[in-house]
Amino acid sequence: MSAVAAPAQVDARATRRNANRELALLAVGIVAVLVAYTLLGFAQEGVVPPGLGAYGGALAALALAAHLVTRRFAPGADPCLLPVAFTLNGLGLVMVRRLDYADPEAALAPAQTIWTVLAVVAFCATLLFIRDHRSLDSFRYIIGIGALVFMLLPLLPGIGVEVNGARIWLRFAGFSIQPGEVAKIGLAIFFASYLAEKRELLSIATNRFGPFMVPPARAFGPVLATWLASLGVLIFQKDLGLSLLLFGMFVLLLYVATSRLIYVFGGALLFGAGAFLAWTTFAHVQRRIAIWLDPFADVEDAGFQLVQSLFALGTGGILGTGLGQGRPDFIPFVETDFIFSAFGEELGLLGTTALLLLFFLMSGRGFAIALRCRDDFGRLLAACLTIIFSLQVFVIVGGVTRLIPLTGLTLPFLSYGGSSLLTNYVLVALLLRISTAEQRTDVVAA
Amino acid sequence: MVPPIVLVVLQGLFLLLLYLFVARVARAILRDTRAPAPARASSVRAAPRPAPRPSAPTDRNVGKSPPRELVVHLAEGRPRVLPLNDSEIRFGRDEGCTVQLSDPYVSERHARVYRAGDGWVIADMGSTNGTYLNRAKVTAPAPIVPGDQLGIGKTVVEVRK
Repeated sequence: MSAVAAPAQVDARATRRNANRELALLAVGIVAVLVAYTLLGFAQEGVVPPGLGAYGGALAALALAAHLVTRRFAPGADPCLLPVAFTLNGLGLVMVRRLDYADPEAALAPAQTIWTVLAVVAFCATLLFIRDHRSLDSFRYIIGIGALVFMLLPLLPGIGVEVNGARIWLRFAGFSIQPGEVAKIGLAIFFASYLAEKRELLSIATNRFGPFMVPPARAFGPVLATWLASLGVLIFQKDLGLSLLLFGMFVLLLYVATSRLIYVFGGALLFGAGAFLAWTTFAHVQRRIAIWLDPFADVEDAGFQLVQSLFALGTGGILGTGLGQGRPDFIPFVETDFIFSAFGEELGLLGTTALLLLFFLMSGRGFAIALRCRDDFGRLLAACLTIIFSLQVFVIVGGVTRLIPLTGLTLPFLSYGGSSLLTNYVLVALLLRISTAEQRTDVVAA
Repeated sequence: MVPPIVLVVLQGLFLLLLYLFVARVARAILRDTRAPAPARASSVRAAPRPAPRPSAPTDRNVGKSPPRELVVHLAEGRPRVLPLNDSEIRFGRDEGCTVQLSDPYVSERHARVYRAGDGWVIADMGSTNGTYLNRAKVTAPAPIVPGDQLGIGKTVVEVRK
C-alpha cells in the first residue's frame, strides 16, 4: 500500500464503515438463504430440515472467514461484491440440494459444499498472496502462456476426457475439472496487460477507410489472432460457449481500452463470418441453431432439453410453484446449464428478476471499480473480469430462455460445478483487490 | 405434511428477504456513487482554508474585493496556487487545459474561470458530472468571490483574495 495524502483517521473510519457494511449485507443474505433452505425441507420432507443448524453454522463460518480476510488484508475494499457472490452461491447450494431430492443417487450437494469451501479458501488465498494487482502485470507472459496451455490440456490423451460432445474436461484422482474455466482469469490478466501497454498504439487512427478514420492494419493483428484462437477452441474442443466468451471478451476489452467503435464493428463482422463458417461446417453448431429456431420440431429428442426449460419457466409464471414444489428435474442437465430454469419454475419471474438484479448490481459494481482505478492495467483488468462475468450470465440466461442459441456455459455462482465456482470467487477477489487501489495522482500544468 | 399455507408464507418471506437484500445492496452502491470518495472530504480537511461564508447569495458581491488567486486542492498531493491575471483558466482532462486533472469524474473540457468586468466568473463547459460552486451545481455562468469553493470532480478549488 502506498501512502495516501488523506489523514489516517478519516481513512480508517471509511474503511471500517465499508467493512461493517459488508458484514451486515452478508448477514441479510445468509438469513435469506436459510429461509429458502427451511422452505425446501418443509416442502420435501414436511419438517424443518435436520441439517439446518449445521448448514447455517457452516455458511456463517465461511462468510465470516471470507469477511475477516477481506477486512484484514483488503481494507477499503468494495463492500457489495462478496455478499452478493456469497448469497448467490448459497442459493445455488439450496437449489442443488433441492435437485438431490429428485435424484438422491446423484448426491450433488455434498460435492458442491466441498467445492464451496475450496472456493472460499481460494478467495482468501488470492487476497492474501496478491497484495497489489500490479504485481500480476509483470508476469503477463507466464500467466498468458500458462492459461493457453491449461486450456489445451484436455486435448491431451490420457488426462483429457470428452463429456457430452465437448472435450473440455480433465479427470484425475476421481476429480473432474474444467481447465478452461480457470484459464479465463489468466487470459483476462494477459489481455489487460497487453492492451494497457499497446493502448495508445491501437487507438491512434492513421488510415482513412471510407468515411472512417481507422487505426493501422497491423493494429488488427491481435484481434485476428484471438479470432483464430477462439475458432480453434470451437473446432478442436467443440466448446461453443468458451469460444464465444473468449472472442467477445477480447473485442469488448479492446473497445474499453481504445474507445474506438471500429473494433466493435470489425469484431462483429469477424464474429458473423466465424459463426457462418461454423454453421456451414459443423454438425453440432447446425443442431444448436436448428433447436433454437424451432425447439418443438423434435420435442422428444433434440429439442427436449430446451422445451422442458421453456415449460419450466412457463409453469413458474410470475410467482413460481414454490421452492421444492415443482419438477425442474425434468430438464436434462438442470444442475449446470439450466439451473436458471429451475429457479424460474420454483421462484417464478419474481425470483429470477431478483437473481438478475443481483447479477446486474455485481456487474455495475465491477465497472465502477474499473472506472475508479488509477492505473491502466488495473482498470482494464477490472473491466475484463466484469465483462467475462456479465457475458457469461447473458449467454447462458439468453440460451435457456431461447433468446439466443444455447451454448454450454455455467451461470456464475448458481450452477453446480467446482471449477466455475472457484474461478468466480477468484474473480471477485481480484476485483476486491483492485478496488482497494483507488488512488490518484493528479497533475497541474500551470 | 405441512399445511400449504406454511409453504406459501415461507416462500413469501424468502422472496421478501431476497428483495430486501437486493435493495440494501443497491442502496449501499447508490450511497457510494453519490459521495464518490472519502478522499474528497479528507483533501478538503487536509489543507488549511477559511470557513465557507454563510452569507446569502444576494449580497455576495457587496463590498467584496475581486479574487486574485485560485488554490487548487487536488485529491492527492500539495495544493497548488494559480494567480488570476487576465487569462482564462480551463479545467479538464484535455492536455490543452490550464489545469489538467487525471480524474475519471472530470470531462475532457470541464469548466472555465474567466474575467467579466471587474470580477471573475465560473462556467461549466457541458461537463458530464457538473461543476459545483459552494456545493450548488453551476447551471449558468456565476460570479465568484473570495471564500468560494469550486468543486470539479474530486478536486476542490478555493477562491482567494
